[in-house]
Amino acid sequence: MEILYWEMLGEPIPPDSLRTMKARELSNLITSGTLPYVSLIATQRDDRHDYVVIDVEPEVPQRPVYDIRVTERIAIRFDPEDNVSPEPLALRQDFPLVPHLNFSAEEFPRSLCLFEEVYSEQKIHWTAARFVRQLHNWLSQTAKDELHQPDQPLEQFLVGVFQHAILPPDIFNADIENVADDISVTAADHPNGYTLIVSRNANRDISNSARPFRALVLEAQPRTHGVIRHRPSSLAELHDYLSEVDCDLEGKLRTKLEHWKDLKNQDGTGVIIVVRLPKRRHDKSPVENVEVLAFVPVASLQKLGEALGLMASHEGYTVALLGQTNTLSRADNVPLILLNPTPALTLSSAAALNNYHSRCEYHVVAVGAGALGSQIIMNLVRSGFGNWTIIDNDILLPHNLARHQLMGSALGFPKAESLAYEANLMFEGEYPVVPVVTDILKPSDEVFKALSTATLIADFSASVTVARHISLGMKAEARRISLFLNPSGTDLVLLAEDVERDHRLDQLEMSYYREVIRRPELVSHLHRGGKPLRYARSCRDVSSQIPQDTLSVLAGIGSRAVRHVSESSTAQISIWQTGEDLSVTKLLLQPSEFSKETFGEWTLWIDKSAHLTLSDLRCSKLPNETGGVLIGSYDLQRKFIYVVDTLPSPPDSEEWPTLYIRGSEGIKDEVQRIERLTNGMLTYIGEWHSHPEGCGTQPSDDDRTLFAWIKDHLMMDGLPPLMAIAGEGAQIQWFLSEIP
Amino acid sequence: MHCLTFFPLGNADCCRIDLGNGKKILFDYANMRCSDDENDKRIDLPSELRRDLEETGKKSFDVVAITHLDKDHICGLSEFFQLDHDKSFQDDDRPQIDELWVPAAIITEDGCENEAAIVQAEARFRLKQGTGIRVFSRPNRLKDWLEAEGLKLEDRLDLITDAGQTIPGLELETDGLEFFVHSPFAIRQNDCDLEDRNIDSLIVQATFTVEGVNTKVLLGADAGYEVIADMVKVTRDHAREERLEWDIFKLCHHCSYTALGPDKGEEETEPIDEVKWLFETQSQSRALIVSTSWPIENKDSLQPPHYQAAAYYRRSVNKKNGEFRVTMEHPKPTAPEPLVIKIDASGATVKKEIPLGISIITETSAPRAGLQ
Repeated sequence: MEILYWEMLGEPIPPDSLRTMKARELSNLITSGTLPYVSLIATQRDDRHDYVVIDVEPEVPQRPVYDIRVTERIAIRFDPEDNVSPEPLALRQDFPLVPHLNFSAEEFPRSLCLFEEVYSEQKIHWTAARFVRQLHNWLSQTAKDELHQPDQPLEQFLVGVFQHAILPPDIFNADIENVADDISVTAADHPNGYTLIVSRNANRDISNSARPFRALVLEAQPRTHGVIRHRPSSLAELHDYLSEVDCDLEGKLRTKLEHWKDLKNQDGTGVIIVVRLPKRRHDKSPVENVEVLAFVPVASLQKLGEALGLMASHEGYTVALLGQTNTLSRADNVPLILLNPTPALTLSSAAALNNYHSRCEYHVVAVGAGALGSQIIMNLVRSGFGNWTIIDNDILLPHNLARHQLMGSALGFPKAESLAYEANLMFEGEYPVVPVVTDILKPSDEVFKALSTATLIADFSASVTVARHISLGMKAEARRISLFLNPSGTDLVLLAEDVERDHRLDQLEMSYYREVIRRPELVSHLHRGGKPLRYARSCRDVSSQIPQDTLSVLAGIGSRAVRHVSESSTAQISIWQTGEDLSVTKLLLQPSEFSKETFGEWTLWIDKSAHLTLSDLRCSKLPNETGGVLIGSYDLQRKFIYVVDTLPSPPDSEEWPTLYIRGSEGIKDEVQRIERLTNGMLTYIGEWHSHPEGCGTQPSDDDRTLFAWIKDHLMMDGLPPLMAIAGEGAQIQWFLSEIP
Repeated sequence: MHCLTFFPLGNADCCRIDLGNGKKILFDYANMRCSDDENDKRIDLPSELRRDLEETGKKSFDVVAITHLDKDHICGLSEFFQLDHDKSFQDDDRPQIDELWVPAAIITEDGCENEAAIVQAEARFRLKQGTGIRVFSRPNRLKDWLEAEGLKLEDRLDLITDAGQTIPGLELETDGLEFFVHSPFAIRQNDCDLEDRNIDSLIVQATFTVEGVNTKVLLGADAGYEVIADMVKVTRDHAREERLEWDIFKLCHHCSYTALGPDKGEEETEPIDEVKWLFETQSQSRALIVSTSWPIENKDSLQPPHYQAAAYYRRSVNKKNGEFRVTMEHPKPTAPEPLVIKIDASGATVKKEIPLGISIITETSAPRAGLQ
């Protein structure tokens, strides 16, 4: 079977007469015999280009997908200025139409698209050997149809096409047969022309577009091979191509022009023609992919109308001609601009671009859209994570701009709404964020509705009150998490409930405080720039002097942490600390379990590890009694007392088999230290002592006297007295407010 | 995926079949390299085979088939394999042969010398033991030999496969491979007084299957055109033409014209009709011919390879958009390497990797440097 080759332009010349360095490098490499599977056939040149013609023997299976032969003759064309990548041209006349060809002005010889990188990027590592290897690889992979990555956009076909058409993703979807063309077009100007954004997103405002456009979407019949074999340069040429696939460009355009005839500014409005070419492997197999092409005729609606004989201009007036038809041959002189069709971002593609296999479809109710929250939310939305309801009542003020995700355009608007607007504008046909502008403490129906479908409730409010409300005051099944910065903005704290909510957010908060007073690394964690407060309203108030760079680091960690939480079911407490040297250290803290006792209107939440500590201390001192002070926290709004820790019996205490007198040495200093370390969240809450073996935990007369003493003193602060008696078998009896 | 590997050994044969399920089959073993000649481009076969066994963690070949006893098919065999018949061929470093395949002539031939005598002794030992062996065809002389050894043919029938049968022990469904035996024929052997190694050699069609796609390989030993003509006639008589279809043909006798026809010809050997049918009608699209031989040089020579035969083979595969590969020319005559053919659902693919300089440098030790 004789193989026919295209005649190459130019005259044969000896290899050393090649003018371009790269052509000489290639011909030298091949004649040197260094590389197997390539041989030099000819060296040629014409007025402008050098050509090196080689035979390549790719790795081709006996049953290939595409008809690549065991030997392929390729001419490589070299640009004298080296501005264009050396271009491989397949010389075999029946070289098949395969993916990854350059969409050139001529169909033959076919031009192979070897590299995804633009040539200017390739230049620094271009060698003739790498070029040959890539050419060999291209042919081998194409034979097996393994070169084409399924999610690869088409842009690589369109080398040198600078103008993009950003299109709704369904246009590229092979599963959809007819794409609705209720789409609007916005033009964004740039120095090389303009980008056309074709969208159905209602948020995209087109009313003030300086360059109005209309869109026409055409659907071709599915084919087993490509239809458009080279770049059509005129409307008539495109029409001819499309006629082959039963697609009537002229007719569709005519109908649309009719439809648009009442639009203002006919002479200033352009048209973008989007062509969908569905492809399938065999005649009866389903459509596998859709090749999308986008063109802009260099003519206004009016000119197109004239070209089609629909309108005529007369002394400055445009008149519609009735019943008049025309063929596109008259439109032959309407040139076409080819655009690079680019699918708009979807949540799934955003996830993929963030290197996640699938997107997480959690419904997250986020409370608080401040500096930290806005950045975490946007990081997650950008990675395709979640569907969001953002609840926030604030508006964006100038000082927010120093660290907030939002920009100046949002100044004065509600943060939640602006965030939703920005987030939803990134995607086409998907609206991952719903804003609710309200105070979470006075929830609206919208809030209740969101909570009822939430998978995760995330507190970014930087408010203990809000966090407690989220933990205890809202009816919702979803697990809660809280992310906040310490007052100096150096550390990020994550409190995450387990899926079963056995560890509630408020309890995790208590375990976190306990670690703050225990761990040396957390000594200055809640420190407020040298202004220790006796009683803080909140230990999360972000001071107004936090660098945005640190915040952005911690927001990055925070967003990944939310993702991690969504992938695990257990409770966790984590702290990330940034250092002066830009290092970040993670502390993983142990969440405690709490037991509950109720005393009238009061509820006591006892950290089980604190309970254990009391029992252990008792045992260590037997047969003597011992005791100490209790450390914990009040939630007076809910009449909760959390028992978190104890201080060891002071050295000046008296411990006897039937007697314990708590001393005072160091107690005051220690309680003050604890208050300082926790910004007052932990403090003295009562007394405990032990009873010896065989004596139970019933209060003695002395114990009742002690309780009265506690009561007298705590009454002065408006707080109820608390006393605990530890007895044998790890039993502890609690007395709150009164002893029955 | 299965793999076929032909080793560059000059005019000599060794083909390894690696099945997807891990089984290894060797067709012939001829280590032809002169180890003290630095310029010998033939591969160090024992090292190459041993390296592969180590990589795959195997200590034996499931099958070693010896097509006939000529030196270019068995050279050095006794230095490489563990042989059961004599302790001096046994140590732990030697790979074992789980099953030895031999044509009946290997058992019955008289006057074997050197390596041939050792291989014959091993085959005879195994046949006497009644294990680890398969014999092809049952000429009268085999019966006579068995009786002389005090054995009955009937007791060894399960170890014998005749031409026209598939070889037991390997199945398309489980192994993805089936062998069909074309030669030797007992009838032909009974007509002759003496064994003729080339005539009595083992010739099979191997059918590989992957995901329902079959790839057929003809492994022609050193048969001449008469044997091929007989094979073609018998196969047609039995209406089993598909047993002579092929995607890959390992040429007979290192690209000798004698496998095509009686006359070498000036430019191109003309095949006799049966051979022409085999190469032009039975070859499939993109057929591959493998010549296990020295490079084809464009000058007349007494010994194969004959360029006139190569010219015919090239022309016949070009018609099918196929290719003709010579083991000592692959990938280039200056540095031959094993010819590796991958077999998967796309059929057979000759592996053609353009090596990366850096990966070669980092895989091997650097030459000596420094002042001596």
